[in-house]
Amino acid sequence: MSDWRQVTRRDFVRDSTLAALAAGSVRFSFAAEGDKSIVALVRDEKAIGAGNVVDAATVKKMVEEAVKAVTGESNASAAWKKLIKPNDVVGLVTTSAITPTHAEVVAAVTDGIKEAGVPADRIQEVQRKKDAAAQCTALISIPGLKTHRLTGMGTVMKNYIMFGSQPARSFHGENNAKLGSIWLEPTVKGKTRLILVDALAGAYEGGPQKDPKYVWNYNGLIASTDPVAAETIALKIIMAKRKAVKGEEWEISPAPLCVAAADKEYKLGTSDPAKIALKAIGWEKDILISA
Amino acid sequence: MKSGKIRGPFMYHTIWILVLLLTPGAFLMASEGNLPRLVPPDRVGAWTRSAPAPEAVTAETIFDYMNGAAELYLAFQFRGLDVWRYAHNDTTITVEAYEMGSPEEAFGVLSQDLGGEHVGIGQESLYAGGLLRFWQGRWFFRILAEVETAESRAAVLDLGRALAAQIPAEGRRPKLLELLPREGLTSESIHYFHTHLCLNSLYFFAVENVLHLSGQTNAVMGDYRLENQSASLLIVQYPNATSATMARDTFRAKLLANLALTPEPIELGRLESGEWIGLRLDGRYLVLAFRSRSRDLCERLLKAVILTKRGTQQ
Repeated sequence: MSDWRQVTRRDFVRDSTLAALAAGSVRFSFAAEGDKSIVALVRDEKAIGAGNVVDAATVKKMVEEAVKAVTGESNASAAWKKLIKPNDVVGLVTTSAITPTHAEVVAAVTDGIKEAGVPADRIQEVQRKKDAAAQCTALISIPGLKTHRLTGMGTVMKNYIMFGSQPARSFHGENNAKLGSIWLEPTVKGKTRLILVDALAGAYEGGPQKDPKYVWNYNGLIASTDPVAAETIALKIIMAKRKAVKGEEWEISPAPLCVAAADKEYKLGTSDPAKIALKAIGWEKDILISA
Repeated sequence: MKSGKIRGPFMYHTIWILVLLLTPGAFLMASEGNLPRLVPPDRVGAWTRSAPAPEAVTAETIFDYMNGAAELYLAFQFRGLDVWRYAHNDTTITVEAYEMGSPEEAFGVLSQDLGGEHVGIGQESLYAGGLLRFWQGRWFFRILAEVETAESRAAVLDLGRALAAQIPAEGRRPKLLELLPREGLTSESIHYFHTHLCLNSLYFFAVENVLHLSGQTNAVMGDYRLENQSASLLIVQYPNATSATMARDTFRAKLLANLALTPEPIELGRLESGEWIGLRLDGRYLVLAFRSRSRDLCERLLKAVILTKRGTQQ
């Protein structure tokens, strides 16, 4: 046995708890291009400027481009109507740590949901509000792009950690592999209509406590209806940033087992780059990933 | 590792009020259990402290406060955390003072990331992008300006100096660090820790705790660059030789079972990836050299670790 990560992966797959959880899972339906999950990466150099001031109008356009690309619709209003129904009760799941979800992104999403016919009083922020999330019929997950010292990645899969029936710390360390199980719990299962990663700024190391030296402005949004595909693209961008900073491969510790596990064990989507159709839109400088 | 002492919020706040009423202007005060209490300045630059007393975070409440990183502090004999906030217009500066079990533990927290600019505050300090981190005695500090400007940088550093001045410089870096060979060692790569969780946040060997790390073990790790080659070195100190041997056996069995290793005392093997790994068991110490393309460097590092001094194990 001569490769540690293969070994650890085999150990992980043997975990009977994971196998049991996976047995009852179902693959969600995603916006797809052929047999590929669509991930939109929208960037604009004007989105975030000097002093980290966010240009709300630019961000609104980026959100519109993202939902159009994900749904295949030609205008944003139609795109939102494809994602959200007028009778939905919508929960927004944002992030407050390290790279908090920008208010301008939340505002643009809220506008879009209203365009789909949902009144303002049926749209609410539900992060850390499990009961409120349980009442929702639709969720939009809007995490910040970031790593986490205890879960590897701290972006898509981890964004629902407070909705789990187990304490958040039970998903730390190697147990980050089990983050996908939360997505199968009744509070959230089958409700996520869109994952919109706020990548205006990203944190490529550390977390959850903010360390500004690891935060950079990426000026991007990552959107998909496939949470695993969105996380896979987010992880690729972070790994590319880490390599660019260090000049060599710089692995994340602990290993972000949650990404592959969300695919292989919990059937939440695809982590296979060959099964992801990446649609890169807008600013290309320092994009760190190719479509 | 001893468990952290939990302070009751009621007792804590009562003592705080008494301190403020009876001795205004005092800085370092004796309080519950003779633990020193800190009093940062009311104002620094244009920033004003938002409340007279700190938000007191205990071992019981740190999970809520941290939103998910408490274990990294609890792993270093966390005793308590005081948080003050300063405001100026729409900008804030947050001051966090972590009381750990010993100076070694305070250094251990800082050593989880030794990157940044050395700014000469406390016993060891690092600054980057608006965040100052330093240790002094058994205290670890994090002072973060939400928005970095020349003014906020000055305020953050002034706050650090004011707090450091209230604590005697006691203790020093963990003695175990002296076992890391100096030649080729990258100073900012040094880490001191105890648990599997901490190791996995620094370098991922395995899902399982194959090195039997716990609160009873002390570990140091560092990266080396020598003659265009690189490697990492991990030294684990176990409570006794038996537990060190058991850990070595588990590591070999779980990760290196089919790998041809050179015979003891320096066991070297090449992974499929082409990287070399080396092990050396000596009394209650287990030393690993890894993450290297150079067999020679692994062997050289393993041999360079001096585990005995005048015939006595350190």
